[in-house]
Amino acid sequence: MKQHALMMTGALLTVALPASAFEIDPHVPPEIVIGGRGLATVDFEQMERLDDGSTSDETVNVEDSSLLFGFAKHLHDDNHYGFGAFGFKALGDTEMNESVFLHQAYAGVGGRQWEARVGRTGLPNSLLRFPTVRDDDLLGYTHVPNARLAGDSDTLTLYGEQAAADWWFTPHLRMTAAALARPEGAPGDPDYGSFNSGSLGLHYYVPETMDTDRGLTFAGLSVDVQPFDERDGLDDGDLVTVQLGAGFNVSGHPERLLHLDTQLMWSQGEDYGSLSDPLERARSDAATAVASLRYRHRPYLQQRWQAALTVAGQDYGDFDNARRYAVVPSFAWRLGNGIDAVAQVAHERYEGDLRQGVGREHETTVQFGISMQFDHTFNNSVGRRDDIIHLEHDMLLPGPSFGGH
Amino acid sequence: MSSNHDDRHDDAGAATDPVRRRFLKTAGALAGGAVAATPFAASGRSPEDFGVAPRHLHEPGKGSMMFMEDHAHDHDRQVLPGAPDDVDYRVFDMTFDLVEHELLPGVKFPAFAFNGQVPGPVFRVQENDWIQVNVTNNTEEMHTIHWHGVDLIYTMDGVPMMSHDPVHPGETFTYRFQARPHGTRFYHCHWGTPLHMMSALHGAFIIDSPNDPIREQFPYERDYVLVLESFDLEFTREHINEVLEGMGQVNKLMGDGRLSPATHGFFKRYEDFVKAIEDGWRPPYTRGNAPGGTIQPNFFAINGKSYPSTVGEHGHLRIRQGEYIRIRLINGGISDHHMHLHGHQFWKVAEDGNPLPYPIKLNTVPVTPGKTVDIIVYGNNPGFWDFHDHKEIHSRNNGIYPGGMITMLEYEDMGDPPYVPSTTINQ
Repeated sequence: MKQHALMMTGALLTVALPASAFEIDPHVPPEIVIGGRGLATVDFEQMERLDDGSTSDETVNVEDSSLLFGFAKHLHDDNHYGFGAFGFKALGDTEMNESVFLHQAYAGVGGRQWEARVGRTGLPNSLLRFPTVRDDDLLGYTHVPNARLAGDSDTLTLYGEQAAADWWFTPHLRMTAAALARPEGAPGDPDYGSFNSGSLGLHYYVPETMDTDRGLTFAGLSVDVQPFDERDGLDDGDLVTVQLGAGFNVSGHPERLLHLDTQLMWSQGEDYGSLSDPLERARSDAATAVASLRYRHRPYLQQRWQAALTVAGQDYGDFDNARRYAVVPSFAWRLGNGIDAVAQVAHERYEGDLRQGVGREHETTVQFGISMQFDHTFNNSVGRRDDIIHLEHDMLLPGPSFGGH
Repeated sequence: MSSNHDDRHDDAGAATDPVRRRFLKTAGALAGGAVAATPFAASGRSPEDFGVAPRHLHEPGKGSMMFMEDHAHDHDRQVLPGAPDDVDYRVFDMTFDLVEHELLPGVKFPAFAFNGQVPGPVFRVQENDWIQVNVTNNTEEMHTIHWHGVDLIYTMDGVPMMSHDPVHPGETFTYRFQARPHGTRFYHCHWGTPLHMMSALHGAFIIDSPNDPIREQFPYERDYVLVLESFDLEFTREHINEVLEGMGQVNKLMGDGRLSPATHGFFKRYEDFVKAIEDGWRPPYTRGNAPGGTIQPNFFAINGKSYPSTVGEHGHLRIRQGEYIRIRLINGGISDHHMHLHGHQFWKVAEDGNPLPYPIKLNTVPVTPGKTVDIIVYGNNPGFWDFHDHKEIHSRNNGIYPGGMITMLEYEDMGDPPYVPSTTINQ
C-alpha cells in the first residue's frame, strides 16, 4: 500500500514539473475542487449471538469521513478535458491495518460523448445509493461482493483499481465498461492492482431539474464477472452477478418528494456447502432485493428533513433456508447548508443455515450523529456532465461526470 | 462595428407598414380576449383605453409563476398618462434568445441575446417617434427590457415587479412609448440584471433629431456605435446553468400552482416577506445560504467581439482626412472603461445621451457602467490608430495581451501607407 502510494506520488511530481523555457505552452492552473465530509455518530449496538447470547456496545464512529481533492482542465482544443482526484477516507474495518485509506487516486480524459479513467476509485458494483447514513450500512445487499477477499472488509469491497470508460449514446443514456483490479488476499495485507474482474453496465437517468413529474427517473443494468482462484481451501470458479435497478418519482411534487429506489441482484457462484466464512458467502449463489422509500420535505424547495425506510432481503439459493433481512429507517434534519443531524436504526435478522454460518440471530444498531459535507471549487473553468446547458441545449463541452467521495 | 449603414441597424430599424398592420390586427384580437379575464371587463374598457399596451396575455393564475392572488398592476395604469391609440407607431419585433456566442475564434459561451445577436440590434429612431416593440421570450428564463435613459411611462420601464411583471417564457410583451429625449440611449434586460445585462442582453437605442446641436457644430456624416462589454465566462456558464435548472421545471410547477411565488422570492408586500422568514422560509442571501463569489470578467469586447476580431473587413472605425465622425460609446457591461485614441485629440460632446454645454477636448475618456459618452473625431492625422481601453487589463483575452477591448481607426485615403498593421495576439 505504502509503496503503491509512493509510486503514485512520484508520477504526479514528474507530471507537475515546469515546462521547458522554450515551450510556448504556459502553465495553466486547473480547476480545483476540495470536498469533504465529517460524519460522526454515536452507535449503540446490540447483537444476539448463538454462542454467548446477547452482547451490546457503544462506540463513537467516524467511518466514511473523507477529504477529496479533484482537478480538471481543458485540453488544448477546448473540446476535451482531463481530470483527476486524490482522496482519503476514515476506515471502520477492524480487519484492516490502517485507519485511513487512500480511496481515490485516479486520472482521466473525456470529451462530449465519452470519458475514460484509470486509477483507484469506487468500483462500479452498485447501481443506486440507498438512503442509509453510511454507504456500507447495507453493503452485503447493495454491492457485488469481492470474491477474492479472504476476510471481511467493506472498504476493499467498495474500492479498487480500474480502467474504465463511459460512452453516452444520448445525454441520458450511458454505457460503462471497466476492467477491475479488486483488492485480493487478506484484508490485513491485501494485494492491489492486478486486473481480475470486469463490469459492463447500461444506465438511463433523468435529473430532477429536467423532469419533476411522477415516473421513472433511473433505470440500470449491469453485469459483473469475477473469475477467482483456489484460496483458503475453496476451489476456483467464477462469480457472475447481474444487477437491475430502477428509481421512481412517486409523488411528482418537489416540495413533498417521495422517491422509490429498487435494486435486484443475482449472483451465480460456487456451492461450498457452508456459509460460515465471508469468502464462502461472497462466492455463493445469492438473490438479493433492496428497496427504499425516501421522503424529502422541501417547502419552497428548501430542504427541511428527510425520512427514509430501506428494506433488504437476501437468499442463498444453494441452501434450503439461508436468508437474511434488514430494515433500516433513517432520518436527516437539515441544520444548515450541508450540515445535517442524522439518526438511523438498522435491524438485521438471520435465518437457517446462514444464522448458523454467521453465528448470529439478529443485530440492531441505533445511531445518532452529525454530518457535515462541503465542496468548494477554485478557478471554476470546466463544466459538468449534468449541466443543463449541455443536457438540454447541447452547448459547450461538458466536464467530468466521475468523482466524488 | 455598427455605423448608420450597418445591417443590424436595418434589421431593427425596419418599421415596415405590413408588420405594423399585422401586429395591430393581432393585438386587437388578443386584447379583446384578455379583457374578459381582467378587472377592466366590468367597466367595458380595455387597458388600451387607459393609454397603455395590454399586459402580457396571461390568464391570471394560469401558467404564470408570478401569479399572486389579488395582485394586479392594471389598477396603477388608470391614473397614468400613456401611449395613445391614435398615433402611428414604428413597430419592431424582438426576441429573447439563448445562443452560443463566439467572441473570437476558439472562445464561445452561452449568452442570453436579443434577436440571437450580441449585442442586440441597434435602434435608430427619430425623437418623438412613437415606438412599439413586440418582444417574444424564447428562453426558459424571465426577462424584461429597460429603456435606459428614455423618458417614458413607468409601466414601460422594464423593472420587474416595479414597472410590470417580467416577460414569461413563451410570451410576447408589447412596449409602447415615445422616443425622447434625443441622444445615445441603450436598452438592457432588468431581470437578474448582473447576469442578463452582462451576458449579454443589451443594445443601442439611438434617438436622432434634425435639430441635433452636435451635428450642427460638427458636421459629421458617419457615426459609429461601440457597445463596450465585459464577460466573466465562467460566471456566465455557471449562472445561466443555474437559472435554467431553477427555471424550466420550477416555472412549470408554479404555473401549475404546485409551487408558490416565495420559492423564487416573490412576495406581494414587504410584510409578507418578513412573515415568510418568521415562518421558516430561508432568505438566500444570509451567510449560511449564499454561495458568495465575485464576478471577475476575463473577456472584454466591443460590439460582441474581442480583439483581434474587432478589426477587419467590417470590424473597425474608418475616417477620411478632413472628416468628422461621431463615436457613440455605450457601457453595456459591469466594468469601468477608459477609452484612449492614439494620435488625436477628440471632443467629448455628450454624456448619458445629453449634449454637453460645450465640447471637452480629450484623448482618453472614461465610460463607467450605465453611461454613454459621445465623442467627435476629426480626421487630421492619417494612419492606423489604436483605439482601446487604457485600463490595460481589459485589453486582454483571458489574461493574454493584446486582446479584448482594442479596435482601430483607419484612414481610408492614405494611398500607399508606409506600414500596414498585422495581427498579434500574444505579446
